[in-house]
Amino acid sequence: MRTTALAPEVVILGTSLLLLLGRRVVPPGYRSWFGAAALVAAVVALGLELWLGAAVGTLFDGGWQQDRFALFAKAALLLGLIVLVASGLSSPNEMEGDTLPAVFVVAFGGMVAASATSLVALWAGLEVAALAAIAGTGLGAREAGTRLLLISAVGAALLAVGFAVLIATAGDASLAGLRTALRPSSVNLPLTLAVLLTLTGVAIRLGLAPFQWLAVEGGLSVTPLGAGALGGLLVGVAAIVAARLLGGLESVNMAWSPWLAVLSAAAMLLGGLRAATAGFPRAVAAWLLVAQVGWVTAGLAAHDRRGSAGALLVLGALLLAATAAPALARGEEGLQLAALRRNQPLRALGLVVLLLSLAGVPPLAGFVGQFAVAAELVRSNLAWLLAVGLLGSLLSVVAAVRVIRLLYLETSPDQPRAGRGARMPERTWSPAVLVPALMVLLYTLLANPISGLALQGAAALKLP
Amino acid sequence: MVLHAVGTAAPLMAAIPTPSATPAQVNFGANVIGFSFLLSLLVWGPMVMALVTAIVPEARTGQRRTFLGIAFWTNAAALALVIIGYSQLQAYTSGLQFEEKLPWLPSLGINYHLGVDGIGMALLLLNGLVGLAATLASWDVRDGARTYFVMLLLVQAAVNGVAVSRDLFMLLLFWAAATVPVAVVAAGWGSSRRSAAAGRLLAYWGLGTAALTAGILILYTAAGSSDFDLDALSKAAPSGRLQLIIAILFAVAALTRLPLVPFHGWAREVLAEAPAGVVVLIAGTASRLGGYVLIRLMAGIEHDASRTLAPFLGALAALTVLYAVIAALNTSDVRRLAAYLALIPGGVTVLGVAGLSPLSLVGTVMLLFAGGLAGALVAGSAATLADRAQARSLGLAAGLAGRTPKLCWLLLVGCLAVLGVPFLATFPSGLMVFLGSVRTQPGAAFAVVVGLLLAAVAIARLMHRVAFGAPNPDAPTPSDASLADSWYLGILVGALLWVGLVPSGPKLFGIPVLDPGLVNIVNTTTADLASTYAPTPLPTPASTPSPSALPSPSASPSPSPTPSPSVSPSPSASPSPTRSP
Amino acid sequence: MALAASAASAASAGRRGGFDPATTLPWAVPLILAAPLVGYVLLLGSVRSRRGAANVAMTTLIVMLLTTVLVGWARVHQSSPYKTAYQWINVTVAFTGEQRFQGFGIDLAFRLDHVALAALVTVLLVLIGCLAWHRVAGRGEQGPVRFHVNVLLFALGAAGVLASGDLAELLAFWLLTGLGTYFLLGHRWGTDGAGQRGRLALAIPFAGDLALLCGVAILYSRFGTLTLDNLLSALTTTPGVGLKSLTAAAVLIFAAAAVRASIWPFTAWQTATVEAPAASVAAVAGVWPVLAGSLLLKILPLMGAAGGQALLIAGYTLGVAAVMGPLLGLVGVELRRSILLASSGAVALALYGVLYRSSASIAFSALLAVAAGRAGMLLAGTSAAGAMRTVDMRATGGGWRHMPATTAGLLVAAVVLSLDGVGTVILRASWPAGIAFGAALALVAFSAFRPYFAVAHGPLRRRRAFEPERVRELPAAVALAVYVCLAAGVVALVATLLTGWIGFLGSGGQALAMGTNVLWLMAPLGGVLAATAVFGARKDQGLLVGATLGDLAGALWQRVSGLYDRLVARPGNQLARGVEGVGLPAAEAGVGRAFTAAGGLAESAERGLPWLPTVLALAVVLSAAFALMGQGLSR
Repeated sequence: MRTTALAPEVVILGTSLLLLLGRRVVPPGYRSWFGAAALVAAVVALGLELWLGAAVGTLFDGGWQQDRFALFAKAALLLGLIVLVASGLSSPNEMEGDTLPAVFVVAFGGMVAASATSLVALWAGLEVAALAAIAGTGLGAREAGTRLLLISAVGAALLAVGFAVLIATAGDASLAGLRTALRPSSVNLPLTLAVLLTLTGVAIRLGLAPFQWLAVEGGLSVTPLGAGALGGLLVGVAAIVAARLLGGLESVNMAWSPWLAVLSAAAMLLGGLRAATAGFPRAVAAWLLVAQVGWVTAGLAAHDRRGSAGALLVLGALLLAATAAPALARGEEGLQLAALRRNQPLRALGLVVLLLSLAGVPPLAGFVGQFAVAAELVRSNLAWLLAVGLLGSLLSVVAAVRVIRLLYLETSPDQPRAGRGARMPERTWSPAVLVPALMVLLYTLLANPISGLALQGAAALKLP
Repeated sequence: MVLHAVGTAAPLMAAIPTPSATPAQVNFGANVIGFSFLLSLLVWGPMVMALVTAIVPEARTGQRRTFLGIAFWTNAAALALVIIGYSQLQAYTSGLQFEEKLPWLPSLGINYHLGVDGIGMALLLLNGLVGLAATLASWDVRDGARTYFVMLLLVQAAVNGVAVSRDLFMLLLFWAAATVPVAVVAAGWGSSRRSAAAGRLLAYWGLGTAALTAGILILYTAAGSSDFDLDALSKAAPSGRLQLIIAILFAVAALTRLPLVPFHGWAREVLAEAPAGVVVLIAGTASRLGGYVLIRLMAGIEHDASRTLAPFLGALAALTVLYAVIAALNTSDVRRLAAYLALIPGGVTVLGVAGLSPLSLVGTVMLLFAGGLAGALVAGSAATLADRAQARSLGLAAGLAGRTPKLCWLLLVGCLAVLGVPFLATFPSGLMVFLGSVRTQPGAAFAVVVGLLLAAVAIARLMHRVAFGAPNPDAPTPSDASLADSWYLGILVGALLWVGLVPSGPKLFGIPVLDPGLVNIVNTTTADLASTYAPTPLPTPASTPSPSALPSPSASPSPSPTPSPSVSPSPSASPSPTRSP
Repeated sequence: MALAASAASAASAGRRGGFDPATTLPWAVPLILAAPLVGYVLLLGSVRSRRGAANVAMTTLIVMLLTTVLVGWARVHQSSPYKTAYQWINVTVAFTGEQRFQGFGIDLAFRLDHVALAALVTVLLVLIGCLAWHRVAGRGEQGPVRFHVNVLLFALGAAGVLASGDLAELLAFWLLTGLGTYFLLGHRWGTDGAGQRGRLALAIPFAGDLALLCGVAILYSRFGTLTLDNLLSALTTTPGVGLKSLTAAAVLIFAAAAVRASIWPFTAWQTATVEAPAASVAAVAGVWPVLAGSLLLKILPLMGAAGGQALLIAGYTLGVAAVMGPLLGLVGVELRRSILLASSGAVALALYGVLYRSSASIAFSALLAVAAGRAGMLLAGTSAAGAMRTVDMRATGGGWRHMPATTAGLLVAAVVLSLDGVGTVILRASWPAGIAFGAALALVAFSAFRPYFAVAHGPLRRRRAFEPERVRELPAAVALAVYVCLAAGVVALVATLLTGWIGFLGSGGQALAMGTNVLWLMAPLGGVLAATAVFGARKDQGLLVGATLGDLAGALWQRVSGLYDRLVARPGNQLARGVEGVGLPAAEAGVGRAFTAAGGLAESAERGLPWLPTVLALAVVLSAAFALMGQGLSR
């Protein structure tokens, strides 16, 4: 396989470096183009990935591999990156900060993890992504940054310890080695503990309840762009790591699948509950993300090909919606939302579509994936998990409808219904904010090729 | 080692719908309509127009009827299309017509499969009529008109989608898709208690959607089917226990939507608090989908489980009718009283399903149509009356017959339709349900009759306070129905009368004109579905008399101007050549 | 009788002149139902004035009458009924199973035999009489167009019931007539009394209508047919149909007839609605017994096939009603109520006769007589009450002096009602039922003559704002209207004596054989004499007893209804309000609150717990717990 297959990674990393350098060399007047340039770079990377990534093979003596899973995961990450950048275009100041380069590094970390063939590469990819996300957002909000760093460090530590034990047990750091070394008979207390602690480390980045702090509290305490990275891209990277890792640990699934199923249930239920009681759209989006992460992990908990394919489908939808939602929701709450509908109708519309998709409302992106996962849950005798998931989805829909009500059914403060001739602030139409919503709709429209690719991706994980 | 981009390009290509590998037999009704996407138009047309409504610039000059205009003409066009389809539909063939089948998510076994038979066509026609009525009933909606009409159109599209979906994933998709817009309109317009009403609606409908999802998935898994196609899944024969679970889940989905006691909390609130347009839409069509699922999925697929559940459904139907009436007798709120009355057709519908006899099932399908109109009429006219009288308590809104004659008479017709008075569409359908279920569910049937008797008392109470009682001097001055009110209620009454007077369609010298007749449209499909439940012959069939449904010459010796046999098949001709295998 | 005579002569004329009335049947028979429909639409659509409405309604009824006479002329020599049918519904509902349940059909089937034609003529004459009376005496009535629209709806339903040959069709028209009844009796708006009346007029008889529905449903569920001819021929030939089903169906259909005929104990819906326009009350009281009798005649074979039980139940019910109706008619002094109750006894006696083939024809003819007679008596009584400004029989009097024509009408009606049951009793009396019949005859006569004596005899006293000398006979048109009804009654009564007429009706039975049976005339005669003694000689005392009994009954009723209200209605309503108004909403809100509280709890837990230790603890605890559990499970 030719090294040109690495072009997308190069573009992403290069863009990140250029953006960092650009802050030093480009005069302030021209920095408003950073966002557009970053968007172009992300689109180019996606194009390259779809073109070159279709070729399956390995590099560096098998240390890096490109398979359908990697293709799907990278394409999903890059799509997430595109919608994140596009949704951020409406706030140019933020695009000129340090967050944007960091966001590209997060995506790069994810791409590394997607192509990883060993635990070390997985660990590296995830840690690079996590550190970049925290660095990019933490620099903007120092106090939160420290907290994020600490909590992420806990995850990193757990991951490191767990990986160490796994490598020691299997005598091999590669995922393939892990798969061949570990047998159902080798499941014992220490191994199970190691596996579960490792997965806890991933769960902390994944935002899987009850370890959702990084994704929710962290996401809410930083800028929208940072939240998109923490509560969107990083979650995606963690999900990719989880999928790869669980592929390697498939033979000892009895050690982790009950744990994962219960945590998925907790995430779906807690996410729905908190979303339904959250006070403002950004918090609603954050908790809906947790619920949808529950669906992703529920698919993985079925530990078979179709379940993982469903999980990947949900992951793609999640990346589209969750990365852009904070940027569209920003900080508005209460009556400001009515003003938002009045003054920025496209942003309001985009936000609604994303929230509905996160809630799994048909016919949007989230629904298709969740349905695929649900079908697999029934097949895998996890009907109880389906029941909890449906309850969580019901609560999620309630949450989404609450936001729609605030947005569209309350009187805008600057346009009282009675006073027809009242002064109205000028409307702003920025079509970029519709990109995520359009992507979400496109995702449903193209669900056929996407689901086909997801199935091939799951097959690449060598699941039964 | 190197695979080319075909792997990804192929699925990408597949994004563009292409005919399925096994092309479905495309049937354009009577082959007069030269296109095969009539059903897609009915589903996606309103959805596209909803999108247009969402983005079309608002008229700045005080004239706020742009959105209403779009919704009205969309609904009018949809109704016109439905009427074309209805008149082209080949009655007496039980197969799918206007079928469209394209692969959508083959990897998940999901196809874009639309098709319509008699049952679906009845629902489409109902939705077309009620949609138009609901739009006219929303004439006075000014605040947030854009959102309102967008939601209205989305509900229209979703209901049509459920009626024509032949893939259970699609059916579920449209079923669930109706929930959010309905909840939004319920939450946004109406009385001060609308939030609670919308919350309840969302909760109950959500529960129903969850049950339907679980039921479909369990059926899909139990059938070991490779796709969600209704025809494939209906051939599945899961174990008895699984069948029962699936049937119960379908029943829960249906009963929360129809609704039946004890799942009626949302209807009590929404039908009493929402504005007339929303009430008409919900009572008229959105809730009828429950009955549709009960017939199509529960009775149509899970035969043994349906037999097991029939007594419970019958009991629930009786409970609903009795409970609704007792509740109606104990409320002094005009709108709430009408809301309870609007529950009665749902109860009778379920009695028909519980009857599980061919006749009761045909009656049930007819009642999906007639009951929807009756519910919409009684709840809608009560909403408009309370609006025009500026009062909703029986104490204040009293003695209005002299001052608002039109609305009072329309309300009365609605009440009588709920009772199933002759020459309104609810009479033949209710009669079929009752005659068909007396043999199999006598207790429930007689209990429903007692409920109808009490309903007459409740209706008398309503009419003799609101219409014929002593006017309240302290009440605000009422105004009679506006032109739009008269039209929307007129559409409902007209449809009730038309089907009530000529359920088999009007005939000139025995030849059908204008309308093939709703009962003819629905009966072949339903007969096909219901034959499973036909009573088994007695040991000595030789001495059985000829059935009354024989054409009149045999029914009455004297010459009778009956239409040609091709138009009205005699049961003696059965098994019919058009019977599907 | 008149019909037969005119028909016979016209038929011979037809033979001479070459006009064959049978050629008109294809359009004449449907016209009987089409005419009121057209009139109905005309009235609803275009007519706005009182006179216009009255003219359209009257013309429609006359057209119906003439058409009926024409059909009668065409069928006068054919004893078999004229049948024609138009498909209304005819569908295949199943492709397998029992053949008789594979199809379902309802025909708009006409089945016109001589009985139906005679009944139609009587009903139309009664309605014409009522309309003619209302045109003058009811001039001040509110909603004239509405009134006439309702009369036509009522006429349409009644004609449909009499002409239908299909049970579902009969049910439809029966319900339609019930609807017309509801509108007619609840006609007056604007008072709570009207509301109460309307409620009674809808609810109580609707119970009977639903009994008919149940009866029809049971028959269909057993025989799979609704066409009368098929059904009746299948009664004895269909396997697997038990006597119990037949009895249940017969009793239910009989109950429907009894309720609508308003015999005791089902009289309340008519006696409580006497405040409605007099023409409405008279039309309802005059037409429904005919429809009820016609229904019983139609299902006569069913009564036979159902065995003794059904006949026994029906017989006892009617016997008790024949005694109790007139007896209760003596309680109270409300004129119209007394007439209704007194005549309900006669109706019961006639219906009893209809139940048996041997007496069916004569009893049906008597039923026609009592129907027309009670309508005429109600109209006459209301004319007198209107002129004398009271419905209290204690305050009326001097009828012969002030209103001779109306008073004569009352007398004729009382005679018709009194003699009406004699024919039935002669044919059906047996020991010991004969005693009850004798008592019933006497009571009917006694009770029917009471209003006559109250109006005709005794002084018409001066009251506040009422000058007896100003009381005059109403315009001739009013009296004429009364006499139209009475003439029909008298003719039908006299016809019971004519073998030709009984043969013409053709439902079996024989004419009265005079002789020893004439002794039965003593019973009504005794009743009349007793009435003369009590109300003629000592009117005030006689009526005082009735008034006192009425007060006692009223008080008793108040007590009973109070008890019902306290013990049944109120607790039931409270329970319903509790469940629907409080219980369920509270439960629903509780679920919502539970979820909100759970969300709040989770939120406070997040805020309250130190995040880092919590994450660490959760990580360790969950991993350890699942690891241990997993080990436990794998062992």
